[in-house]
Amino acid sequence: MKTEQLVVSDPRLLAEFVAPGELKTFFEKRFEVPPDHIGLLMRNGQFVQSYKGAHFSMGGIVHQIKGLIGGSTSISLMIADLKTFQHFYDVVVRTKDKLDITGTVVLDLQINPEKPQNILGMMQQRRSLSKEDAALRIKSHAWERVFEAAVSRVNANEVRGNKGLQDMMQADLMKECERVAGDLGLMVRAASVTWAINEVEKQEAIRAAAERETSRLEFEFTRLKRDMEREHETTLIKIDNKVSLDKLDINNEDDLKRLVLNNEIEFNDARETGTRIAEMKVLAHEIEMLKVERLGKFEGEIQQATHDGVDLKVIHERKRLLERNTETLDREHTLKLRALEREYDRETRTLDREENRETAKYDRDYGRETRGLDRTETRDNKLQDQDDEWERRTRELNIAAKERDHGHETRKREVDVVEKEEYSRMDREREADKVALEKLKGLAGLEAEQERARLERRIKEADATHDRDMDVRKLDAQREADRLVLGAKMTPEQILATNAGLSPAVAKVLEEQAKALATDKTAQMDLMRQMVEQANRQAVRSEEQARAMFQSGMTGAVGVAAGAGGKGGGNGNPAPGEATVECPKCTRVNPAKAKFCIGCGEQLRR
Amino acid sequence: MAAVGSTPGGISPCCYQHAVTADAVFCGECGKPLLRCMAFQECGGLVGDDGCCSVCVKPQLFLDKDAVTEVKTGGVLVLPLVFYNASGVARPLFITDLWVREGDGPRRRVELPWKRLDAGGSNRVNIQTGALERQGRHGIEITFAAATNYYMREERFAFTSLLGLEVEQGGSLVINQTINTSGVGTGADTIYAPIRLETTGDAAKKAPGGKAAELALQRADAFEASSGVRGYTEGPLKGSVVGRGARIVWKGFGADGPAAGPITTQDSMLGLGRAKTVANGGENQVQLLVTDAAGAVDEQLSQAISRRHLELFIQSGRLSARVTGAAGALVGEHRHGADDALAEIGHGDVVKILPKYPEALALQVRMRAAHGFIDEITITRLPAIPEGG
Repeated sequence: MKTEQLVVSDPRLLAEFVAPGELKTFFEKRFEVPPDHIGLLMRNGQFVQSYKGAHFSMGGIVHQIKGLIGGSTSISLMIADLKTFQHFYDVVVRTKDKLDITGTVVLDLQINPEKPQNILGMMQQRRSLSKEDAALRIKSHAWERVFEAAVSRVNANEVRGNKGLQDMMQADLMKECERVAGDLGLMVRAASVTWAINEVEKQEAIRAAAERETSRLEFEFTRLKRDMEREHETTLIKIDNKVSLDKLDINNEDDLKRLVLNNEIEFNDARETGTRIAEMKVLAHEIEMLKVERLGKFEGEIQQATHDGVDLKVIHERKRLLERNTETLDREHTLKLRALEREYDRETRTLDREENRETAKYDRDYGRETRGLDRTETRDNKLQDQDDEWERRTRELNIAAKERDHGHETRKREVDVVEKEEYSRMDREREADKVALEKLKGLAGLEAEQERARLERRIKEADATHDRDMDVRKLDAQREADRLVLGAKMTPEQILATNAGLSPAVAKVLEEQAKALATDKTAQMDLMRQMVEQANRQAVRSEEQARAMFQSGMTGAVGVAAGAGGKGGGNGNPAPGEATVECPKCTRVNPAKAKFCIGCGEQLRR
Repeated sequence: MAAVGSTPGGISPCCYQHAVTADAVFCGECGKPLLRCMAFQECGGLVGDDGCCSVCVKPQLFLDKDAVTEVKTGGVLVLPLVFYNASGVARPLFITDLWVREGDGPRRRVELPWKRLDAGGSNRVNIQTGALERQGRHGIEITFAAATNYYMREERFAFTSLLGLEVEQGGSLVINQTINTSGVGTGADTIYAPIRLETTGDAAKKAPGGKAAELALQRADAFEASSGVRGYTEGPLKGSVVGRGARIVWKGFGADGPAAGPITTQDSMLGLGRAKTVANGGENQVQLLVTDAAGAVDEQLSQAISRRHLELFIQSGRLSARVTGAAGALVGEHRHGADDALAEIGHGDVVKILPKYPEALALQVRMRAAHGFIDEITITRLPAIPEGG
């Protein structure tokens, strides 16, 4: 048996009732509700059940008989579309900055599959319900409460791409739809608004386009400017003037041309020869222009002068005639001067030759005579000089001998005189002393005798006193020696007792000394114990090291004191007399103030 | 800014005081090892791990007056440089190489017509840049290698200076220099040395007087390692530099072997040979004698070793040796002797003391490097002397 599919008759419909004629047939018919539709079965005005994807049969003779026996029932069937459908409509809302903007609302709606029977509440008549009618039920309620409320919070240039705004509108729309049509079996699946271009956005787009255009123009300008700068910077023209500054004051194009041709202006090009050629062409063009201008000016002046009646040719001829005459006169004058000079030179040379000839002859005669005289005179002079020299030496020898004799005599006389004077002076002093001694003996002889006797007496007294002291000391020394000899054979206790027996004060002193000795030993033992413990802590195993550390610790304190006192040398070696410490590792002697051994680096103290 | 109480190179004044003592190895005040300059006899200077003696190596670089006359975009620039040796102890410097780098381009080597730079003396050289094609800032890096010599030894260092040339529109040239020495030397210093040479205007052209401007110099340690100025240029430790204070560990020398530590002798060399050690009244730091398996001395073979057979030292970031023994020595596969005394020793090299008897006595060298810096060198004696021997 063929199965008939029950769907809505028009895609624009959301739900519709199946016509009763289709159900009441003589023969049994099978119907099928596809899974995207739902069939709502109502019997005798009561909703029985909804079927999604159902398959059932109706009509036929069996049902007719059952109806005749059991009585008839009224059955109706409504088919509803379960698919989501979209609804579009335009909205015009006002933004925060008071601009009306237009948008297209897209609503995704669907019949609530949980309670599809409520869709009956939206049907005006028991026939059908279109999708547009269902959507319009929401539109009027959502306009003000959703779209106006949401868009009024943002500016016109903020609506586009505003996901938060879209989410807020969708949530509000769902909530509003639930409120309005929730009981009617309609639900909103999604909602969004597509905004049209508003005025603010248009203006911004125009401004952005203008800015882009401006940026492009600026970039183009910068690029062109940079090209010009590069051209400017890569071409370095340096003008080295080899002529004076006066020449640089160029008067006309001829000067400039000459300077160029004479290479007096050098063009030092930094990079490109082409640029230099171009510069040369520009200069040549300027020269040509100056030349043409100056020629035109000259021609104009000539024409003006001709027009004014001045014949420059006549003036020029006159001037030229005068110049020729002047040159002729100058030439004649020059020729005359040269003739006079030649005449004068000839006479001068003749006179010079004659004078030279006479002078040479005279010189020869004079020379011959002079040489003869000179030879004779030289010979005579030599003889004379030899005689003079012999006489001079003879005289000098005589004089020297005389001086020697005379000096000898003089010195002899001087010595004799001095000796005689000395002898006489000593004789005089001796006589004077004798006289003075006699006088002294005469005057103080008695007093001197008395003084001598007194001194001898004092000396004798001092000798006697000294002898007595020496005897007493000898006795004391002998007594002490005897006591020591005896003490050597005694025990310490006997000596102590003996000494104590001498005096109670001595006994007290000895007692105090004994106490102090005991105290020192106790302290020393404590110190030793501490050092041994410290050595054990530092894993110093050997007894030698412990003793060395104790020694270094004891001498270290001395070293600190010595360092504080400023003693010791500046380097590692100990200064003479400075406290030292021996390294326990390498036995090197270091200054006591050294923290480390300078031989092996061992730490001596902390 | 340098730390208070310290000198350039991070060496404390107390170290200088204790270094006066000829046989002092450590500073008695701070306990640091005294690393003397190879020319300590002349300069009395100490060095740090980088091996640079601030007394001997004191170059200065100046941009000569009248440096710029006229330049425009597309032109070239000539920088007249003046090298000056500011050493106060009459130690000459040798400028061996000069490189110029523009921007990020490759370094270009510049031939120098001179090399020696006496103390207090100066030499000039002109550097020409490439065409300044565009306006704006142009960076120029000037790097040079300076060497100081002492007898057969030589230490080389590289210094660099950065110049920023700013070509303004209209031909104005501004040279700015900003040096950041962060992490170099004693602290994070920033030195600003702006030099402004205005070429626009008639005043600058007509008044070419003025003084030479000093350019700040910075040690180019990375360049030293990469270019071979210092450190090894081949082998497994290529690009690594031996620190001057590298610890030398001696193995296989028995119980009385030399102590581990850096080279702290007055001439910054270790003497190895048949003679006794300094501690025993000799002249060497390490005594080399041929022994048999039981540790007994083979006197006949030991006689072939010279009293001072080998001298070890660190030079330009490399472990080097000078073979002074008459019998010579094999370093790797190469024999060194009187004609070829200097040898460079690398990681894994074996120094055979007697080339005729290579198995008699040898020293194997191994190095430990971290981040391109070799801080420990282990020298193992082959065959090893038993610890009890």
